[in-house]
Amino acid sequence: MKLKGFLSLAVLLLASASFLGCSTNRFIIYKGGKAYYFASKRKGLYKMLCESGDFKRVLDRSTVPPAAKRDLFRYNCVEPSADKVQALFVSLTPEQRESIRSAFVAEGYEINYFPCG
Amino acid sequence: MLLDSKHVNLARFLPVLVFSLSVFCLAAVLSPRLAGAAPRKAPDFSLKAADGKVYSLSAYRGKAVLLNFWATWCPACVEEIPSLKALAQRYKGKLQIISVSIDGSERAVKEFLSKDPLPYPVLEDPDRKVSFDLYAVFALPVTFFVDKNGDLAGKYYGAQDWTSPRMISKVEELMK
Repeated sequence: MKLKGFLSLAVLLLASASFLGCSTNRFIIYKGGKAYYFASKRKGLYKMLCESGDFKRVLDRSTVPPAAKRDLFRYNCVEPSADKVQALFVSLTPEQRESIRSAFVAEGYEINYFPCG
Repeated sequence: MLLDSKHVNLARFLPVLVFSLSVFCLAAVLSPRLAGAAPRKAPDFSLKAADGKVYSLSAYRGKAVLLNFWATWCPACVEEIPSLKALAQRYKGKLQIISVSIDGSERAVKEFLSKDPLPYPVLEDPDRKVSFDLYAVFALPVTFFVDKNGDLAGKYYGAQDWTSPRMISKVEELMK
């Protein structure tokens, strides 16, 4: 019974992960041979993007409104939350997204997407 | 006695009132049009295709469009291509499929198409201006439905079986 319950839970978690994996809607950033999912909680990402000051420079270059800049910084560098970052990005205008993308490129980053499945 | 009959009358109408309010709220949530929200226009764009021609989304106004973002290095993207081809064949003349590759390598796309030609335009977005900036695409594949009025009518993440009854039904709804 315990094994059956555990297996059911494992199947449910895997199914959820597959679903969430496609709907998390995060992109990948590359720099210096390292790649991370944006807004992940990886220490490497924090060091590369936040500790280095790169992300602050990216946000400063962008045309994103001050409140959104604060939130983007907060949910990437202070309290990482992929869901909140996703919602923020989708709420930006195309021009604002373009400014962030260009700012990343100016800071030496490359942006790519992760494949679902 | 009079007070009792008034309360009895209210008690009779209350379930009807609650039911009506629930239906209204549900309709407002499920149908943005009923709630007064305007449908969102699919951002227009022009991109060069693998065949060297430039294609614009607005040129297809009046026809239902399936806008598919993909890359040759994305296994799930490649996996759904056969069913996209079947869909294109099934609804030839009624549905327009537009494929947007974010490969960043013209050579990779041309090589792919030389082995597996697609019966619809394959546009290239190497700078991610359309995928990232306009459509906020961060994962692949993703397919947007654009109706005949140029409004966004759906968004599907991940590989789909476009010939399944479920997706056929959604496509036919889009083409109305």
